[in-house]
Amino acid sequence: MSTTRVQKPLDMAAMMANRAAYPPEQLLPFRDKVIAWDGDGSEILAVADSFKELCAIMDAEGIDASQVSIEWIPNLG
Amino acid sequence: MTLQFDYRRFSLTSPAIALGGALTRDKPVIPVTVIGPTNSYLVWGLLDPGSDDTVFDEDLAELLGIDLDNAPFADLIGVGGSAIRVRYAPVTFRLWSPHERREWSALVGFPEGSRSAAQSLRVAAKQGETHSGWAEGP
Repeated sequence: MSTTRVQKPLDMAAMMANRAAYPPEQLLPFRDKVIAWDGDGSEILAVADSFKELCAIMDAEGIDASQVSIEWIPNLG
Repeated sequence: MTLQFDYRRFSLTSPAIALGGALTRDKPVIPVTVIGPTNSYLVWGLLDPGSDDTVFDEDLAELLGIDLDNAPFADLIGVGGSAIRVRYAPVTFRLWSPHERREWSALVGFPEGSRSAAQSLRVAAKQGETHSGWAEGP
C-alpha cells in the first residue's frame, strides 16, 4: 500500500508562526543540514547536506520547491 | 513602515558560557525569497548587520540560473583571517512579513567552494542604515 503526501501550499503567516513555535530541541538532529519546511512551516519534508542535494531530493520526491521554505540549521555547539 | 521579525531559538548541545550556561541561542533568522534568472527560492537567512556584503553559498547561484564564470570577484578576509574568493551577481530579494512585502535588486556574493545555501548566508545591513531601515528596502 502506498500513501501520497499532500503538500501544503505556501502560507507565509502560518509558516512564520509555526516555525517560531517549532521546539528548537527537535532540530538538533538536523544540525549542519539543509531542510525543507512544508508550506505552513509545521513539518520537515526533506533533509540534505547541501542546497543542491536538497533540491535534487525534492525533485525526486515530487515536492514543489516553490511551496517550501529552506533553512540551514546551524551547529552552534 | 518597518518590517519586523522575531528572533529564532536554536538549541545547543553544550552550555554557552557567554550566556551564563544557557542551552539555547536566539538569532535573527528571517525568510527571504531570492529570485534569479531562472528560479527562485524562499530561504531562511541570518540577518547580520556586521557583514559588509550579502552572501549565499555557491551552489545556490547555479540553482538560480546565475553564471558566475565571468562575474566580478574580490578576495575577502573573514574573521578567521584567511582569504576567500567571492564572485558577485545581481539577484532580486523579496522580503515578507504577514502584513506586507518589499522587493529590490542587489549585487550579492557567492564564495567559491561554499556548499549549502544557507550555511554562509549572511544578509548584510546596508551601509549607514539600521536593521529596520534595510528591511524596508530601497
